Amino acid sequence: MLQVDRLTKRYGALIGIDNVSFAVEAGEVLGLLGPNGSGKSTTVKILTGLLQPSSGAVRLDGRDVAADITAYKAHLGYVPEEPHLYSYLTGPEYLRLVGRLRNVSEDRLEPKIERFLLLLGIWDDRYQTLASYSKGMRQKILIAAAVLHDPRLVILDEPFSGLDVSAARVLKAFVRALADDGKMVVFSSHVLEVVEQVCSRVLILREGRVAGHDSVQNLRATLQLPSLDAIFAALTAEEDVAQRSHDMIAAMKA
Amino acid sequence: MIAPAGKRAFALLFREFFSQLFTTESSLTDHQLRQAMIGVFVFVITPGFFLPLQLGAPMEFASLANPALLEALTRLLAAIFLAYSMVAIGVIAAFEWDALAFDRRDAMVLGSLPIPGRTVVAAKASALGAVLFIAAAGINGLTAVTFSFVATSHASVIATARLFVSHVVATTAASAFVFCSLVTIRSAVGLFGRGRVVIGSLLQFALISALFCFLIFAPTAVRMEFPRRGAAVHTVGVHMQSIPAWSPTNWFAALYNLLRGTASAGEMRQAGVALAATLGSALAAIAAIVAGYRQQLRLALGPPASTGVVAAARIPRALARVLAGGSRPARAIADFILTTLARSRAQQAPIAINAAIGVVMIVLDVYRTRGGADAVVHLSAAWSPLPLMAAFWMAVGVRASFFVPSELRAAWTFRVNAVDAPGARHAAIRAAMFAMIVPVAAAAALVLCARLGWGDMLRQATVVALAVMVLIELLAWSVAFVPFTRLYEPGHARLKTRWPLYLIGAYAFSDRFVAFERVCWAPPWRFAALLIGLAASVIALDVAARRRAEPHLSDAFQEGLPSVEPLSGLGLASVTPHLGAGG
Repeated sequence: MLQVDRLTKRYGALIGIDNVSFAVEAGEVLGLLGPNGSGKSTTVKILTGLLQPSSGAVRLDGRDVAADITAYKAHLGYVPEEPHLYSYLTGPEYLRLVGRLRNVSEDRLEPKIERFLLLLGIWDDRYQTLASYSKGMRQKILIAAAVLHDPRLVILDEPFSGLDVSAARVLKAFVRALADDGKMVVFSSHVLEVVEQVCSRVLILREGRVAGHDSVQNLRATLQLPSLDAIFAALTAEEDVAQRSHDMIAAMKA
Repeated sequence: MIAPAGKRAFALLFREFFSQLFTTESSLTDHQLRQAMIGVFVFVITPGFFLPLQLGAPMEFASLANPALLEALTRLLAAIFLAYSMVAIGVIAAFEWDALAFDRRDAMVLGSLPIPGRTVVAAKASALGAVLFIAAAGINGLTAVTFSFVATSHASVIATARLFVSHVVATTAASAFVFCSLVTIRSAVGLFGRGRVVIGSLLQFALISALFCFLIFAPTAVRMEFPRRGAAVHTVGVHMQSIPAWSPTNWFAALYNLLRGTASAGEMRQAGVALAATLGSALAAIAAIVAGYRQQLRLALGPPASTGVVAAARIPRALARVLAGGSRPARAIADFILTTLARSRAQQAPIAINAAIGVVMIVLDVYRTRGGADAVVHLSAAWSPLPLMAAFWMAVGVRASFFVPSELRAAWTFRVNAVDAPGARHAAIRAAMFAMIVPVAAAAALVLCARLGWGDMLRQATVVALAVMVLIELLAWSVAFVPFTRLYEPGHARLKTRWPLYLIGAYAFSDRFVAFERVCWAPPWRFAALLIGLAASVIALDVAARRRAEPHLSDAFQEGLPSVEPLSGLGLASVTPHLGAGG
């Protein structure tokens, strides 16, 4: 089990997240929601070991990951929000780089790469450098790289970005299948419909603090709201959407 | 938003294309960029100030003591300034290589805007013309002013003015010829899609080598021998180098003389060739820009063409994988290092520059030890420090390239995935450097020692290989991060104060080491001791470096991902960190 205990991150005087706590069980998909600047990316970067918290702890199976961050990272697969890749490498070259860094043996690595390229529909583009890949193709490479070593914990930050409809449908099913396979999955997204379909529980952040944390059904029942969209709007005090769009039209015509 | 049209669009695009010539994917703050640009510009134009002064003494002597020599000297020095103008503008063009033609991004951005293609092409051509004009004025303006006074010190103002105009026109035409030719080559390479990176770096290497060699040897073009006090013969000897007949410099020298009013009938024809070459290269450059834009539009609107098997550095990669040992992360990092070096121009630039310095030092060494410019072209030697000198500068260049970040935002790959990297990192760095440099140095030693017979050839190649391995171990020791993945700290190289160390190091590693090797060459036990000593050093340094290796968590990643700002066109790099704000 992954436990996050009173995690706080300060950037000088700014507070990125404040006292954030949650847990992810094996076989569970936790949705991480929040408007821009709410602390989602900071939380994800701490979970992936890219940032160190100012206080609080992340524990995997009861052990503080900071004690042996390398061992923790060996269990981790990560799809970042932005598809920053080495653009002069080809897709298979990038996957080979990640696979070797992850110590996947050569005899397992090559067949795995071939299967992922075929399954994700980028086999024909295997000789092209990532510079010529579309955003969706890069996203597919990132997803393959994240699960190449069969991780226990998968952290997905906006994984549907740039994917076409059919690829997005496959990925939704894949996320559920990862959970069914006993993985812990943290799923950060702005797309509420997808979160509602995929996640067992959701954690809603607002200004770096936890604004809500429960299953979608329980949140609906507690707040007596019909959808996750309405729950999100209520918990993040989202302003009047109609008024904002009206103002934008006015700005356009000015 | 309504897109700008007509003149406004041209002005906007002109400014944008002009600024593109001073940007790069992996670079620095505005302030550092300006410093770097000024540094390069000063580096290129300073010789133009000193050359006329250096070469002025023979002119002054000729004008006073032997006026018959004056015309011959003026012609030779004019040819030297023309060569300087061509090489210097070539160096600037090589540094601006990527921005000399349209790329796919230009077409993707501009293709969807309501701007006619001719406006885009005209703006690009004008921006390149502006850079040519500014650079040519900087390079040739100084030499024109000083040389026209030096060469006509005892003549009229009109003669000075005429020489000034001749100098400006001829040198600018020569600059334009070289610049336009390079623009044409760059656009042509872009049309075919492959080789842009490698050709750019090779050109950079060749032109910087040429510039360095030119700066060193130009003052030797005219050599004067004064009689010793008390000597029986009181004549002054003047030795002048000749310009090879095939050189394009002769065309522009003929134009120079035509404008000065001293051209022969043969030179009139050659002056015509100079004008035709300048005009032809300009037209070819414009045609190549037009074709390049059309090609990029096609590429942008269609699906991305297959690049085939891109530059792969297969042999060094295979060798590095073997040398990296059993560690898969070490193999992965070695592979990454060599692939990056093969494909990324930002990383190739410091290698090209250092290799160019190496070439110059080799040429100087040959010139010094064999006593004449003609010896430079006869590089074959029975036994020589040249392979070690070349390896030294290659190794220094490769190490310098490690500090140039490559697509820094993608460095998260190593932070998240390199789960046992510290030991692997050192193994990978040394394996990659071994694979790149040791075979080249050993092969050079074999070739240069061909006259010694097989036994001695192999002995010499073994010594060179081991010595280079020791050098690489020492250099790899100082790289405590996965290459290309760290923020460059401005001023880290401290070249202003450390350059003598590099020169002393090069001298010690090549000349002094070879002198020591000669002492150890016989008897056999002494030679064996040398080999054992070198091999033991390699092993000891490797063991120590692996023990020392610690996880490197970039400071930048403690506080968020860095932002890489597209600035500078110099192949130099730095980035500015910012907080990883976001959702």
